[in-house]
This record gives sequence, C-alpha cells and structure tokens, in this order.
Amino acid sequence: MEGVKKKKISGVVVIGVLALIIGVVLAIQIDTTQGDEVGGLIPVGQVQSMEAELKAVKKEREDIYQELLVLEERMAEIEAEKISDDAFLQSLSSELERYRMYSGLLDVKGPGIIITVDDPVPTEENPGDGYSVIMLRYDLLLSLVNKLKEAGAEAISINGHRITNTTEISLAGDNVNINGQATAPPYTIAAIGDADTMESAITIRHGIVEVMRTTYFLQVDIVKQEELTITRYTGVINFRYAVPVAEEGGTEGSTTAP
Amino acid sequence: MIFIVMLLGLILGLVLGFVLNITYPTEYSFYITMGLLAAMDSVLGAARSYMEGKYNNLIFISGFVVNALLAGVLVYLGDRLGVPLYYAVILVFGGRLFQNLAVIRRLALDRYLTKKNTEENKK
Repeated sequence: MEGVKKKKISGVVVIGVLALIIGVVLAIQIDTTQGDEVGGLIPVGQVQSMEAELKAVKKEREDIYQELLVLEERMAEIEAEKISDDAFLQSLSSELERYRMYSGLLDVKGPGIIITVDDPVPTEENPGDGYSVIMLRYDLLLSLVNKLKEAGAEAISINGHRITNTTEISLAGDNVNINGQATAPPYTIAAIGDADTMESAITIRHGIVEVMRTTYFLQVDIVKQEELTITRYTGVINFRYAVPVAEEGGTEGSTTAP
Repeated sequence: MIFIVMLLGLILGLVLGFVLNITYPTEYSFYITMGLLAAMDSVLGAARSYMEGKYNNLIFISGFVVNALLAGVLVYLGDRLGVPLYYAVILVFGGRLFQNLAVIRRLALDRYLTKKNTEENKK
C-alpha cells in the first residue's frame, strides 16, 4: 500500500515537472514568434508559391528585356534604311548616338581599370560584427565613383550596373541598391577612361583607396585593362516632372534656378 | 490533484519562460512546436493513465522522449524531402490529444456520478 502511494506521488511530481517544461517552451515559442515579424510558421506551400511567382516575374522581365533588344535592333535598321541618303538625317543620327552613349544607353568599350572591393577577412584581433563593412559604408563606393569621374572616367559600372545620371548608390534594408537593384559584395567597379590617370587619382596618398584599406581594412584590388566592355543601362529613363524649357517666350511665370 | 499539479507547473513554466526571455533561431520553430505537441500529448496521456490507475513512470518518460524525437525526425525528413511530413505529427498527436481528453472526461464524469449515487443511496 505504501509503495503504491509513493509511486503515485512520484508520478505526480514527474508530470508536474514536465508540465513546467512545456510551459517554459511554450513561453519561449510565443516570445520568439512574436519578436519576429515573419513569425515561426510559414506554410511550406506558401513559400513555394511565392518562389514560383518570383521566378515567373523574373522570367517575364527577361523576356521583356529580350523584346526590347529586338525592337531596338529593328529601329536601328529602319533608321539606317531611311537616313542612308540624307546628309542632314545622318548627322542627326550620329548626334543621337552620341547622346545615347552619354546617357549610358549603349554598350561601350575602351581602356580603363577594374577595381574590386571586398570586405575585410576576419582575423583574430578584428573579427568583425557580422555586417558587411562596404555595405554599411556604401558612401565609400560613392566617393570612389566620384573620384573616378573626377579623373575623367567616361563610363562606370558597379557589378554590371551602369552609373547614369539618375543612378543611386544607397543602403536599403540589408542591401545596397544600385539602379534600384540589390547588390552585394564583392563590388567590381569598371571604369573606362585614362587608366593611369584614374589609378593615380584614387591611389593618391590619403586618397580613397588608402582610406578604404587602412581605415576600413577593405580588400581593394586595382587592375588596368587594355580594353574592357561596360554594358548599357537597361532601365527606362522617364521624365515625369522635368520638361525642356522653350527657347523663347515659354519661361514666363517660372523661376530659373541660378 | 494531478490536474492541479499540471496547471501549477504550466503556469509556473509560462512565467519562468517569459521572465527568462530566451529566444532561439526561427528555423527551429517547427521542431520546437512539434516537440511541444508531442510533450502535450504525453502529459495528457499520463493524466489519463493516472486516472485509470495504470500509470508507470518509465513508460511515461520513455514515451515522452521517443515521441518528441520521432516528431523532430519527421520534421527534418519532411524538410529534406520537400514533403510536409509534419502533418503526420500534427494529425497523430492532435488526434490523440482529443482522444485522451475524451477518456479523461468520461472517467471524471463516471467518478462524479458514482459519488452522487452513493450519496443518494446513503440518504
């Protein structure tokens, strides 16, 4: 009788302890799923459907881009056909080409340099905090681009994203956005121009590359190239607000910025 | 008595968990929830066998550990195969939760009714 009673009590204790463990785990689970905006349980099906959707949209984008290329080719053909015998149109066409090149809408090639920037290798005394240095200090990239422009770079791209008039280099969430697209290290900056001038402009003492290397311990690699190709800007430039100012008479009532 | 202990343990555990404020990586939340389900099933099963008078510590603890492990393995395997095998865990343990609760309810009602009957007989 005594043994049975003892056994019963030990059972109660074990169950109580287990209930306690369940409570702890339950509380931890609630804490974890509430602290996270994503939540713990995302149905696998939902994830898969979203993945499929993303894939379809990406493919659509690619298709549309291909279509754009084909159409542009056709337009070039038509242009060539129409203007082959007209000197005025010919000169217009060559001017158009120049403006296209200027706004980054053409693939260009020429001599230049390729700069590779990557995060520091974590060492014992400098283990890092898990964040990408170059992504947090994306202003270094901006600064580098600025210096390249100063040294006469005629076309610049970062990781294949052409730098145009409207290009931004900006931290957005966990990514550095360039031309509205997320990028990640290592960053490869290609610039066409006078290779020697550009190299000396960025590697000058206390210059941008030295700051990157000594202050932020970034791995910076500079390679001069005889010929490199920089691809075009693939986005669409829309002017929604800016309109050209008419040469005569059209400026009444508006103020001109100095 | 057993339900009071269970409730006390649960409340104490909840308080402890919230106070300690532990978190873990979200990837593991599936494993935790499945383990939780297995544990809840085990505790209710134990309560049931306790009321039936068939309770045995060894069976209870081993059942708890093995169930939780199997739940974890199924979740892992399902993740690897791309088949939602954790449905099996949810269905089995969820179903058993209700079953155990039904048995407990019947037993409790039985006890209550027989008690009432004997009291009436005494009168």
